[in-house]
Amino acid sequence: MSFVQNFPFFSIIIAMFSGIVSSVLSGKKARAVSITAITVTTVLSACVLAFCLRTGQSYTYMMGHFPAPWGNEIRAGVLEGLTAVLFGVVMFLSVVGGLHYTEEDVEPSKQNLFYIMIDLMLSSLLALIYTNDLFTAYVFVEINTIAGCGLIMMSQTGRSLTAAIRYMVMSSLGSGLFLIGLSLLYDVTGQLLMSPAKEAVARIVADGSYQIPLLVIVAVVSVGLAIKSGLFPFHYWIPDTYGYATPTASAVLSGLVSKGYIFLLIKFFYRVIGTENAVHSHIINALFVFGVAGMMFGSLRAIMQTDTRKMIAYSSVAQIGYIYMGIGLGTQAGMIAAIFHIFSHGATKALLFISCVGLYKASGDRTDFLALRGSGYRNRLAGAGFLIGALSMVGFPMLAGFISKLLFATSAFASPHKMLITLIALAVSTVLNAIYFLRLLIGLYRPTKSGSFAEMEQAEQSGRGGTAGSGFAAPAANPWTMRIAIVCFIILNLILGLFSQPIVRAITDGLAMFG
Amino acid sequence: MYDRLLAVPVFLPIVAGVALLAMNGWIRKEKRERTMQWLVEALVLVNSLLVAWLIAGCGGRSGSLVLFRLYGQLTVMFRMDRMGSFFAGLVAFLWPLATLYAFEYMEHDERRPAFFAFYTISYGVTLGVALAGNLVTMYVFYEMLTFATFPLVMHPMTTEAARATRQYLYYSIGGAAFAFIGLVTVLAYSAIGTTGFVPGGMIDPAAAAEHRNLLLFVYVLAFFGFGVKAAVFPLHDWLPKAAVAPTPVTALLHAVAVVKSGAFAVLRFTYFSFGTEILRGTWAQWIVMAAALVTITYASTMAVKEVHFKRRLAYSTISNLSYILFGASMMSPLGLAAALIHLLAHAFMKISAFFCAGAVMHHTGKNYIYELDGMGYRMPVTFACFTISSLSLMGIPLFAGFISKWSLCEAALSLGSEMSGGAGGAVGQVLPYIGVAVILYSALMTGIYMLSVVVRAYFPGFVQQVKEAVAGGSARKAAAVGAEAGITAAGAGAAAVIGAAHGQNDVGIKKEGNQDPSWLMLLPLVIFAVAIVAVGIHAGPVLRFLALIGGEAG
Repeated sequence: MSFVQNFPFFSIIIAMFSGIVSSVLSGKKARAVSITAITVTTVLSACVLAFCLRTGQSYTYMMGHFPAPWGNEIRAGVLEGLTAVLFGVVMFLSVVGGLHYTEEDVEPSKQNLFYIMIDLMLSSLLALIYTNDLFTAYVFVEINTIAGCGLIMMSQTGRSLTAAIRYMVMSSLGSGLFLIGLSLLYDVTGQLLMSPAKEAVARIVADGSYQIPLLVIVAVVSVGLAIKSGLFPFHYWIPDTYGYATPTASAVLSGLVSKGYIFLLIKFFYRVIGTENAVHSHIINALFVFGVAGMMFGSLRAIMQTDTRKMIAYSSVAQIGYIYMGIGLGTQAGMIAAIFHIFSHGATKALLFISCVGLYKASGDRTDFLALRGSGYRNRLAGAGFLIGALSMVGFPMLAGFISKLLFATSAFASPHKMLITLIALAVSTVLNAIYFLRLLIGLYRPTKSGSFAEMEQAEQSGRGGTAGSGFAAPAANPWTMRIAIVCFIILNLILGLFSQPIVRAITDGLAMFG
Repeated sequence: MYDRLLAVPVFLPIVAGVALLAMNGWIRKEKRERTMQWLVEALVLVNSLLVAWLIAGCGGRSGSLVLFRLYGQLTVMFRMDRMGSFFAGLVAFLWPLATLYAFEYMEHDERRPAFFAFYTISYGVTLGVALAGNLVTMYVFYEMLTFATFPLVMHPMTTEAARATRQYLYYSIGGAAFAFIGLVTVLAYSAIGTTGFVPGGMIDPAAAAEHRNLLLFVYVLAFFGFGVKAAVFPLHDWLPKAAVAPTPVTALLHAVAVVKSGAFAVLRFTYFSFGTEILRGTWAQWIVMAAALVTITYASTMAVKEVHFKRRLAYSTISNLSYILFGASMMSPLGLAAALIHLLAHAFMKISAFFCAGAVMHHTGKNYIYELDGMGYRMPVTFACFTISSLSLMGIPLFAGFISKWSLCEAALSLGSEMSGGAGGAVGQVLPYIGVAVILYSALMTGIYMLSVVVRAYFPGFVQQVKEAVAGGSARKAAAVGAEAGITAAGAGAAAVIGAAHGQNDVGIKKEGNQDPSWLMLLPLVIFAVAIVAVGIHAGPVLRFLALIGGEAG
């Protein structure tokens, strides 16, 4: 056994322990520990990815010398490694980008708590990615929920508290359903490890026994994870949650956490139920329908918003819809598109959240459209970040969003009945995205009411120098951490848009290893 | 070497524009705007010469250059074939002149560097559309064109401009989204595995037979998708609104570069991707043809109603763009050639008409037609050029507009006789003939909306006289005045044009001094007027070249 094979386990443990250690550290030190942990786990995941790419196969890693049916297992392949790396990068940039604002928004005495939550979040995400055991998955789903709740509450305004409670209730419902699904599965198959469970399910399907319980299992697990990831009819917790949390928390929650659950669902389909059975169960068609509905509804609601944070949050509802639409196509190509969109949306949405903060800071901490007028001049870099993010969302060629759109569209041709719906849904959704993102974008580059350019320039100068201009409190120059984060996010978007081929190939290989 | 240079004319202006944007603050602070402008002009000129050299070097062989791979079979690739070189040549001819015009027009503007930056970027992007060697590249540049030009619409930064920009963006991106469906469908059913342009189309015939209705539906979607930029009927509304932009933008982008990119994209998509084989005689053809005809009728009627000078010209643009689309929808070699000749003729006519409108707006601040009384004497050269472009737009022989309208009618009639056997169903038998009638109707409307400007400019008393006569209740008297004025108009109009061009005012109007703009504006105007007449008198070479394109792709 190669030493690299230990890395998935190491990275989960490192993240977990840094959370535990942080509880006795000061805010600053907790921050350092957290950032180090994210960096280290990302590097470790990159090693795992490289290892799997070289060997060309996945491996299972036995925890604590107990063999298959009893012990706990970790499994790593190309897809797991890739997901872990990209999640790590997005998380790192989100934390670094929001660093300055976390310090402002969170009480000094609770700073370390914030980073504990980040650590726990990281460890649970990694565990969801790597684990081969359904019950372990459940445990980390719960850890994830609690960490998410903590992150939302951190800004400690009234609204963030209600948002956290709403999130808690919905998430608990989701985890509850997931747990019921697991119990039923355990009843029917007697297994909780994914690979043996899959064999058992195959036997059941061959027998023709337990057909209905199996259907219920698929349904309950899908619905549970759909609630947790905020698929359309269960999305009510999203706007408040993403809207009122601190920037880092918003970026992490929308960019990664909901995606972690979707990744788990994909794993459940591939590694436990088997894709053919999932397709036959028609649950997948329901996911397709709700995905398409979510794309439309999320965007329509986003158009109605006047607060940017809520607008971006509703846009997340729409983007989750895209992913479920891809899963719902029920083909390999659709799944690849969905997974690619997990990455591209993660990178884009986090970029939007982080660069928006820069715009808010340049507009006296207000987040409505009117106040943001002309802020693209007051904070150039944040404006550029938002521009790239918005263009990617609209599917501008050479950015990540375009490749997603392309993959969805081309994969639609493999499923004749859903083809036209998918294509038209993509087109309509693009128009809707354009409406709300570009409306805001135009606002960003419009001068404030008086329409004087001298004023705009003054604001621009003050954005650089630090003197007051245009009635807003002096927008401090961007903290360097945020600059790095925005620039890196833009580069990440371009990489996903221009060099997508190797990534898509890795996803394809990874899915093949899943089977 | 030659092939590798293909990317240069596309990216040189883009890079220069971006550099200009980056140096924006420095240029303005140091008051280097004058120098900056001449550098921009030099760059645009060099770029145009480069394009001309590339076209000359092309000489029928089509070099190609693959830049990079977007994804899988989707490459960004440039190719200089006949049709691409035609559009590229047109754009390269117009751009330096329009830039020159913009110098004077924008002289009092606060944000010149930004304006010229985006103006120059648009040049490169438009060339990208022209030189695109496959559908993906064209789609990429089509999208980029939207984003390169919206800051120009937004340039006045008023509420009206912001509203127009929003609408422009929504329409354009929406159009691109539906064109995207066409793109992936072509990719999925391509016979060559890529989206490269092949004269006559490259859809796999087997797939075409199997998924016939689906493909036709997708074609209609993509036609309207690309047609958004060409302002086809239900999606035309952004164009008159976008007239809020500075005139160099309206004239060059919203009469030529952007809108013709839309028409060009439709032509490319129809003749080089889908192929006319699949489309000829189907319901899809009649739908798109009907859309073009409705647009022509609607827009030329609306232009009569509109009293804002630039918006009237914008409506005229809408109707003329649909002439091109009408040619495109014929799915025949003649139709393609006719569409392209109208693309060329309309470019000269409309850009000069807009430049006149801009010159009037810039020097006198007059925006509405009813303010133009007697302007023909105050700005003689400007209005002489305007008259030429009006006559050409109407389709009077000796001017370019006549050639293109004649070609269109000829193509429509030939299509009509081809379809008379019943190949295209009942609709197919009549629609081409309706098309000819619509062109005649539109010519009448063009006469009304363009000549009413000319008449006001040269016979300031005339409108008043008619009005008084009508108010006096005597229809006969009104008619008499009209007839009398009509007769004198014929003679005096010509005299006025000639006289005015010499700067003399012997018709008896109070002389208010010559308000013609400086040579920066006049030079482009005169060149365009000469071009209109030149094409009108000696269209042979152009027509032969276009017949070649029609022959290979139709």
